[in-house]
Amino acid sequence: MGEFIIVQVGQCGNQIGGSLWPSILEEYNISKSDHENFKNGLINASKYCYEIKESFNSFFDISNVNCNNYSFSNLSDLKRNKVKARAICIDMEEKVVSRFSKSDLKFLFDKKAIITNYPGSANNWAEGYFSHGSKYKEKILESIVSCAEGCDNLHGFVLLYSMGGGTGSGLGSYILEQLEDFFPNIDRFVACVYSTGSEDVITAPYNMMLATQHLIEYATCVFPFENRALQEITTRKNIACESKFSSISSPFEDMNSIVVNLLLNITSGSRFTGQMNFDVNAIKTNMVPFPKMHFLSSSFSPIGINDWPTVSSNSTREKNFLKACSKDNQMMTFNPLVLKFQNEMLNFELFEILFADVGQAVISGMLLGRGDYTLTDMRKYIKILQKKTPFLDWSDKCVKMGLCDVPPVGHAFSMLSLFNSSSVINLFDCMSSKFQTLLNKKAHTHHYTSIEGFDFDFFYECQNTVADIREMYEEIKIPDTSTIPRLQPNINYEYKKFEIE
Amino acid sequence: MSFLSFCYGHCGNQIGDVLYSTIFEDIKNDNASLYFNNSLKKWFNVQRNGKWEARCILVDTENKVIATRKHKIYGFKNVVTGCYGSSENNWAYGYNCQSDLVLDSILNMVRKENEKRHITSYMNILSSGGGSGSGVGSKVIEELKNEYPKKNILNAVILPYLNGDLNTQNYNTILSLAKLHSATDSSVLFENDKLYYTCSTKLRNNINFNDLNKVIAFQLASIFQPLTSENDTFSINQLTTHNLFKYLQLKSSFPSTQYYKFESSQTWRNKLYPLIKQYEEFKGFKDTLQLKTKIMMSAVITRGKDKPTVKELEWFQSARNFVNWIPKDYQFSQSHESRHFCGREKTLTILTNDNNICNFLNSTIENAWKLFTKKAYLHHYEKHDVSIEEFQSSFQKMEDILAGYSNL
Repeated sequence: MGEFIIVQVGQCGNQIGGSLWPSILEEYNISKSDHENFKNGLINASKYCYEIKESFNSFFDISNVNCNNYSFSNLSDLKRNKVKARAICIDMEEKVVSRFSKSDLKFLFDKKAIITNYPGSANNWAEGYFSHGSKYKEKILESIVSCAEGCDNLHGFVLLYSMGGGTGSGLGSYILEQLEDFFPNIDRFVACVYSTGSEDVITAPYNMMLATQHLIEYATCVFPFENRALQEITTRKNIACESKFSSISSPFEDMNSIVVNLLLNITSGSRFTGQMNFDVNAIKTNMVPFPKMHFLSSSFSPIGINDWPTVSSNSTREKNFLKACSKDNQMMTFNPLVLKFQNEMLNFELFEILFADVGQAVISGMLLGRGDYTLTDMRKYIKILQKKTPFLDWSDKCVKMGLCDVPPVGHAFSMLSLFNSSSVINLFDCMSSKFQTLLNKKAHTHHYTSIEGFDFDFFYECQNTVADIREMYEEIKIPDTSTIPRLQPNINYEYKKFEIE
Repeated sequence: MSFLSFCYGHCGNQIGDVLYSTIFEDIKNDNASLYFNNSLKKWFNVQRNGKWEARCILVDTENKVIATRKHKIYGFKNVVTGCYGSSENNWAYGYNCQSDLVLDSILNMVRKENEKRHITSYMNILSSGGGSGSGVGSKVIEELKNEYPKKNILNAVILPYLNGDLNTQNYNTILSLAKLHSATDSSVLFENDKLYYTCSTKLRNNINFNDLNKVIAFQLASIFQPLTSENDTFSINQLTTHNLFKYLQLKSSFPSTQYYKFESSQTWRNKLYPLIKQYEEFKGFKDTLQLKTKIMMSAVITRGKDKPTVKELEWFQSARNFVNWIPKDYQFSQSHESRHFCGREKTLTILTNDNNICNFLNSTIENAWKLFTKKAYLHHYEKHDVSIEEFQSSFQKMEDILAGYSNL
């Protein structure tokens, strides 16, 4: 089955990684101790044990396992067989990464794959990119190459980092560029957190713009997570939870778990079998109609383990689909089902909503149903999407569908949706306006220019690159009515008399 | 008559699996009748230890489908699969890159199979929408034609849904159909939309791919299972004598499982009537032209007790729906096998070369052309050496075929 290498950079990346690996173990039904069994895992374990076993190599290197007929049920099994996680943990501070070298899971992480330094990157993109990049290039590449050599069927790199900080955005961009150079044929998926709405770092706009420039140029697909969207989802989820259960998890953990579950959903197509094949490589072909326009808005449902019944019926499945495509579950500010008010336009307020949102255009979409979803369901949903989503006149048939047999842990079904839409302009605008205000005053720029290798022109350069891609998305929105006529048939209709061979 | 089948890609492999199990179910309880022997010879190799082995080459670029194949009484020996990752739903990637990885081992296997037994026909099962199936498939089929120009090569092509499975399906379909049209003589086309409709009316409410695959396998098996009576030498190439019209479509009396008990009495007329109705009700559109069913050639294959009488098949004698420029004798052929098929008392399959395909071709070209003029998705194809010119020539070819069919 398809294999992935997770590269987690910086504090945020490693925190996400910190909740990613326990979730992966849970999905593969590995219990913490010998006696404990995951209650939720059991649903999947009995039904899908073959698929789960077959795809174990997706995230773990099992080349050290001696016997062919392996099966793992708890952590000590993994330890005994020297199973290693396909992960590279990079941070310029020890704090967060140390959770990997101290926790129960520490044996999963190779010593070579943990790269740390002291002190950090001081929230400075230039320091992460230039100083740390050149210093750690050899070490990082060595561990990535050795990890890649252990793969038979590498489907992609998954990079996790935040855009606001120094190490994540700076060193992350550097690694992304190196990967493009060393592994040009392997896809690079970036799950990056944009700290829009809650910038806790004064230089965040600079870092975000500089890192975005690299995303535009070197990434295959980008799944941006806006902090404000994640926060909204977690607050809503907490409200939902509090009514039923007392929520004790911290908001940051909730936000991380959303990112983690999305990643597990996206990679599920490559890891498990399905009736309608969906490989992660296919995302790029299906979702990116023009080069560099690869910022995908993603969402899934159900979010969280508590908020959904496991009863599967036609109506619950459809509700779940609508939820997965609703505005509330999007990782970016975007509303795919915007045209749904069309029949109810009598209401003036709704009319306003319609007008506010209609300025967006959807270029392509994708639905991945996991678990109980059937072909009939998917046909229906695609019809609904084509009716309600503001597709362009040439992109209205551009919906990819996929079916994966194995649902996430504890659920009978789940739905993942991806959209490539012009709403990403909001993100660019939000970012570049703050960038512009800072740059006008030339505030904090001396921290950047003092780093060897950084030129002041880089600020203008990244501004231009982002403006260009924004322009491309803007152009897409303008309906182009000019049509080129189809080719004329080039045959002679007077074939009516011919001999039978 | 011996077949060597090739299954390409995810879709092809699923159908291949169902096809062989349909055939196996059909003949397993038969012992040593002529039908049984012919069928066994046609589809299986019998090994020394008495085990059956499907004469079939499974080709896929990722091992997900093939890995989960359960071993049955018969086995699949010839498996060409790589862990190369899927073809990214990109015809160009499959055709130009991934096919290199598998081509040599496939041709080797074909040679070995040819040494074992005289093989008359190669049957290729593939879907046209995806990447592995259509891309790798087209390349291998071209090579087969080069290596074995005298063999009879026929394709079973599964066409995607009109309103979308994949974003690049229309490009892939146009490129692969154009390639197959030049390389081979006849293709049996299955429209997913029609299959889905068949399933939704005949089966249950929630349909899965397995149901569609079963319908395809049933229809394919019902024309290719042996005909034992000596006068009937049916060959699919009878229907594709003109080098522009190579597309065949199947209609068969697929039994309803949901309303099985309420089915009317088993007469040929009852079986035939709903199928003919589909022809009569067909409405095609090409620009301003309104089309009605025009059939170039047709064949009816009946399996079951009592050969249908001439009167029961009289619709095929009427000139209304047939083109007038082909002599009547060639236009219609009838074959009958008195053994039951798959345990059904009566099975009737109509194979036609007709203009019902126009609607599909027209909208596929339309949708692909829309994307092509906007240059959307083209960079994925250019990356793997499929140029704009190649696209244009494929479009031209498909427009020609469409024009031919719509002017029948």
